[in-house]
Amino acid sequence: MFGIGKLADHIIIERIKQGDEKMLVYLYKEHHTMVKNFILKNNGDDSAVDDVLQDTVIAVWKNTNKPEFLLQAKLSTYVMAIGKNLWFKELKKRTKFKLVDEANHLGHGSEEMHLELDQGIIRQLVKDMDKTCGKLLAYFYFDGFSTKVIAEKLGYANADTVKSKKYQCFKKLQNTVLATYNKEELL
Amino acid sequence: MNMDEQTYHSIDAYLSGELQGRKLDEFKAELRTNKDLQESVTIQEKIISAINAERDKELKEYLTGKTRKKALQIAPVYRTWMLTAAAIALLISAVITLIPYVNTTSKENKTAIPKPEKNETTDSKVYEPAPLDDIETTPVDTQTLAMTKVPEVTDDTEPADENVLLELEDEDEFTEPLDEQNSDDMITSVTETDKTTDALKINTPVIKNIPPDQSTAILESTEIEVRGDELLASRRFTVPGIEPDFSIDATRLDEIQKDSATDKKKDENKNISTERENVTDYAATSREVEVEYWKSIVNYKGYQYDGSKVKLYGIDQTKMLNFKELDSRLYLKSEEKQYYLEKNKKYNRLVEVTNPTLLKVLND
Repeated sequence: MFGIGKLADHIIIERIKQGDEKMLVYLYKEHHTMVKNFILKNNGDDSAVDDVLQDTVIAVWKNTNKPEFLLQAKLSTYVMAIGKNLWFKELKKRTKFKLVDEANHLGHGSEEMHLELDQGIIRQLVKDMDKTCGKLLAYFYFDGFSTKVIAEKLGYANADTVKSKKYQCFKKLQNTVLATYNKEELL
Repeated sequence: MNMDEQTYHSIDAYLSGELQGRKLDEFKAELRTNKDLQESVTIQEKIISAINAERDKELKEYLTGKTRKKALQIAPVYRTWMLTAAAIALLISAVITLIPYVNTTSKENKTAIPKPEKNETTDSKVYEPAPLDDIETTPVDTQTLAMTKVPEVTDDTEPADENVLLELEDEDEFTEPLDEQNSDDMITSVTETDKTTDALKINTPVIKNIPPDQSTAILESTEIEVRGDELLASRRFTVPGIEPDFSIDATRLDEIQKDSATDKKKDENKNISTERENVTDYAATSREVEVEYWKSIVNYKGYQYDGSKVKLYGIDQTKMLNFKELDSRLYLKSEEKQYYLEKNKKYNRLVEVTNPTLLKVLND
């Protein structure tokens, strides 16, 4: 209603494909009430709303950039469907956690903790790497932008340059990771 | 482990699910046997997972940063209602604030300054102009300025207080009913038999120069009158009806037609209509018509005739008027001119009769 006004679905999709991060905020605000009402009606509380909605919006963002993406319903319906799935998944996780909590879960927990620690270190290395390289890899792996869009966003000449640059960046990161870790620790 | 670019892209495609068909089978077969490839896939998968997690965190932080601020303010759904309510409240408060300002100027003056105080202030002989600092600097409507006389500032100018007081006096005169004497004066001041149409009068006080020897201050109000048409006088006229008698023509016309062969008679025949016009016998009837003399505010000159009453505009009441009725039509004679008065409810201009035949009948 305010700010950028009400946008048509196809415009939102187009802008997401172009990497306009404002669309994340727009989707979040537009669907906040709907998702919140749904969660509150389904054994949820206010604290869960933000997390679920963030995950929902980011999932929509990622899905939209997939080559096979085709919107066959209203975007709001699609967003709500993802939101509902994520909330039910979260509810299942919470129930499962309660059941297993009492059982001997300590060994498995330490294993998970080890994996998380590993990923935490690698993430730190990702964070510390060259900004452009970090963005390039994030755009490619997470956002799923096409090499053409990445070229436009990062100012590369064409898609081939992006492909080549991506390899160089990844190789650099891999070397850093391997230099930090023993190969056995990673495997 | 030495990963070349081709292997990197193959692993990428495999992990993203893009690798399909024969290429996927070949890759899987290689993956089963090639230990280096297995290690490369595992490491690449972990790094990609870390990249994704970092990007996910970054986007969530972005979302939190962008939405938390708004969440702290007002939820978007309620924003419209809040803004609407605020606008309405603002409007109401503005109206409440302004209404007393509009109404109180006259009310406050009436109540705050009673009439007896007027005598006290008017007793003083010398008036000093109000100090400049005390003069209000409120904006003045230019139209009001144009309508009112601007008082000359002299030594004798009344002080601001006195001004207000006398202004009040004028207002009282205007708002309170006139006492009989005053109302009579007003009527006689117009004309004896006259009535005035409703006119909107705006009283605007004007400060006059007051002679120093005068013990009381004199203040007159200049009346700005939006006047209507003014009735000057009313009279009743007897209107003789003219019925031409054409009885002569029945026998005479036959004779003329019989003798039409002769030239002499021809000429006479030509003049038959003239003879009709020379009728002098009339079957006269008369009636009375009420005539009102009006002064138009726009100096309109004309008349209005509804069948029983004639309203004349711009006609001098001292002039000699003569009315006649012919064939149920009313004619007015003024200054040797005949005018035909059309019966309708409109305002009409005086139309002079030019038809010589008709003129002859009317004048005779």
